[in-house]
Amino acid sequence: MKRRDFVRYTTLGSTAFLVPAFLKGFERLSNPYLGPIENAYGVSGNKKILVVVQLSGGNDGLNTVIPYRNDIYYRERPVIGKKENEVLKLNDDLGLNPGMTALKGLYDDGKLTVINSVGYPNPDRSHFRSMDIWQSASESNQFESTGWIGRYLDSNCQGAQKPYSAIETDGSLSLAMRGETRTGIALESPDAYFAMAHDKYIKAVSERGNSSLLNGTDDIQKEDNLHYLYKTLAESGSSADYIYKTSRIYKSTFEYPKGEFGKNLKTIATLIVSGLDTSVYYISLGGFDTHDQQNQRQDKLLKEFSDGIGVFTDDLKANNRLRDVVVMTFSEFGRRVSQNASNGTDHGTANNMFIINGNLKKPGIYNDAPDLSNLDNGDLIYKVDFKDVYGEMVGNWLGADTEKILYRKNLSMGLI
Amino acid sequence: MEKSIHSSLKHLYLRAGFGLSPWDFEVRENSIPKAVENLFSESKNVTELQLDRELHSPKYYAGGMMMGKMSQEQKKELTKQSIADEKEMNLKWIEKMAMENGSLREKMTLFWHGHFACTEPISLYALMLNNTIRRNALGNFGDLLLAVAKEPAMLRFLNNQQNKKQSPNENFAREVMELFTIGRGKYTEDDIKNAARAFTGWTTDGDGNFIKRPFQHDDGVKTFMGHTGNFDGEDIMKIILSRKETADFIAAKAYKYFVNQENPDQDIIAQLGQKFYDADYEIGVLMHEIFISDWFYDPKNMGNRIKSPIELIIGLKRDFKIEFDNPEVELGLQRILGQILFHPPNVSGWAGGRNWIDSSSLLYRMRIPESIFYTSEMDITVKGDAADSAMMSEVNKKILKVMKNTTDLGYYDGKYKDKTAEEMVDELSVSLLAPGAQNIDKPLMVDFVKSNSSDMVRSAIMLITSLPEYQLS
Repeated sequence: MKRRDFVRYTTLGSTAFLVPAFLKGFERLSNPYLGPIENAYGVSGNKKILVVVQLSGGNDGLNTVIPYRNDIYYRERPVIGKKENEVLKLNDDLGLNPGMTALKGLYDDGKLTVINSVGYPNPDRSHFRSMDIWQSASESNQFESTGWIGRYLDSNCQGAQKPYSAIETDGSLSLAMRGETRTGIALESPDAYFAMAHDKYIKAVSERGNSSLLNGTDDIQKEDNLHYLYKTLAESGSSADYIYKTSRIYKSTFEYPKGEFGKNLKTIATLIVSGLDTSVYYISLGGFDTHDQQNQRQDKLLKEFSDGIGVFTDDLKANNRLRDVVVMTFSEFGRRVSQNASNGTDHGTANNMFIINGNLKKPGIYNDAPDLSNLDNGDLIYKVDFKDVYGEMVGNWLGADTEKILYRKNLSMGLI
Repeated sequence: MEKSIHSSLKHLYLRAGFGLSPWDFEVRENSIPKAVENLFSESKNVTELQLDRELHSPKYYAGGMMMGKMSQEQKKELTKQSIADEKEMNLKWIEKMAMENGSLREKMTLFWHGHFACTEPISLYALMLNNTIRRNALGNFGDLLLAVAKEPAMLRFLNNQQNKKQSPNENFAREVMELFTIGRGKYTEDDIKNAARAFTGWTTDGDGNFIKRPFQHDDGVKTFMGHTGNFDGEDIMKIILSRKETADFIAAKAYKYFVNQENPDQDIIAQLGQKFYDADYEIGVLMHEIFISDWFYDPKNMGNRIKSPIELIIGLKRDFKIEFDNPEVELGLQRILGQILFHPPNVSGWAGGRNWIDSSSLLYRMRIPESIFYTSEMDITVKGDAADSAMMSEVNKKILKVMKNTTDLGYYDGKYKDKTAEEMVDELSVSLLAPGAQNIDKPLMVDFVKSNSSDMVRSAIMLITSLPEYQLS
């Protein structure tokens, strides 16, 4: 006999947590987890949420936000350069990749800010190291074993105090989400996470830990690792319960693009609209390392990205939550200005970032288009330090003290 | 064997190696000094990590030309082959750590692998560095440091290829001091600039052999840590080693890795640093001192260290003779648990300790035994990595769905089959859990064991290896 036949019981199959549709409004009203932030009509309160979108592999920023009037751009990219008549024009200099109609819609609606030339001093062109720098928010000659969102959790400020204050939609947790004393949660879906934590045996072990270890009837010191393991286990169990139950409240009827990215965006929208008390969500879309035949691949990825974000923002808007949510995108680096011999691009430096929200202070193009005539060894020179953008997110938006998290004073870029 | 000696020996083998299988344990000596002596003598010889095939240098792939002259096709071929090589290196090393008696050397190699952390996409260079570390793992730290500094993998990883007289690159000099030897705050920015000048021209030829290019080397006068002279890289290393803070830095790192990361005893660390310095940086002396000291066996230092993912995988694999039908499952496990051999997170290595644990990784650790012993599915999707970790993105994310394997529980069946559930839980918890982490809820375990009357031994093993206690060593 297989163990799971006799030990594992998963409540997924049971009806205990399935809320009938006609009760949903009531559920929203009465859900004890929701507190004051949500009422029966889904109208938002003061809960502020950040959604970080990581474009992995080094997205080519110059074919994302295209300087379609710039001769240097066409000179350096004779094959892969996007023609003026195909770009989705934002202003007299810049236009979006043709696949990004949804983002163009957000731009026209005043819900998108484009920040150009974002990077950091002494840029590193290794994916590995540069991603490390972006996720840990360190200087390029420093090594941090914690991530910036992890340190936000460590700060324990309002909004960061719950074990589920930060959630990543993935099987494993990124460095960005790891703090010194606290970490975020990685989950593929509320159901999968719940199923993981709700093995009958694991539950029994966890309860035993709760009663004897954590409440001090055993001779276990608080600083012992065993105590730490049982504490983490107990938190995982209660988080899994809470996330799973809450995720039942709202069922999105919007149609998201096929694939992991769309699926994960839908999970995040579901959790946000359901009123989960989570402040940061983290989601990744990979495949941007376009060393050859770039356009086919990047266009497709950018369309997937843009279509996904378009449905996501529609979903939130329909539920009156777009004002409470800021979406911030980044990639570990941009790519070289010149195309290479394989009609692709190699690793570069500065890049653009998108900020999306229903109530932006400075919608549109935030700063000058990248200066293609003044390069460092063929690469763009950064004008905005990404840590300032992070500062805007954790400081201005989430209300934390940036000094402890980003080692810099809370300066406003006036974005949100 | 007396219980306290039994516990101490178990502790020793868990920390100095990767633990001992119960059947190996039965035939071991019963005194600490003898066991320590054995650990060292079994590690005397060096067996290098090797693949069945020959690995090639970039020059080979470039048809005898320099790497910079490679065509796209040649580059692709090098990348493709390196990824395949690296998978095999990874699995072979796991095998080596799990199977060898001389596990102290392998444990030390893993320790230095995290200390001299480096990611090298060319498989030959990655393997060369690994074997250089292995050869020197129990030797003299100064020799190890210099040998590592001359490895193509490290010179490339820390950009010393770009460190030339006309345009110095300080990365190598900085990391040597900050992470490999003396630690932050013990040198000035001027020291870094001058050290970088001393390392100019240190590079390798197309086959990975270390060379100094005289025309790229700055042979002018440098001032470094208060000394002035026409220093070369070797001189810089000597000056760094002459500082006692370097011995302290390494001793502290070893103490935290082998003894106690969360509650280190600063007095003991200071004594170790002095001992290491007086012994002229002999690593064997440092490690011997740790393993032979009374404080190493203090209850607060036993069963209170979180196993690294590699230690966890090796323990399971060896103790239950697990062979996965598809060995790449072992790569997938490394990935979801957060430690991939040859892929440290950055040049500062794996942070270790509680950093291994988050709510997801803990649940994985607790669910993996079920998937192994009952071949159930683990449905996990992990994001594709950046191209630098091409090896891992090749590992199909769905691979963990196929945990098919064979185990050999013959030893345990023979020993426990005819025992009661109570006896089984009693004895197996002592056998499988680290001393200091054996105080489990036995009635609870017995209930679960009994609910599978058809194979209680398998069930008991699965249940015990799924516990939070099993995560400790």
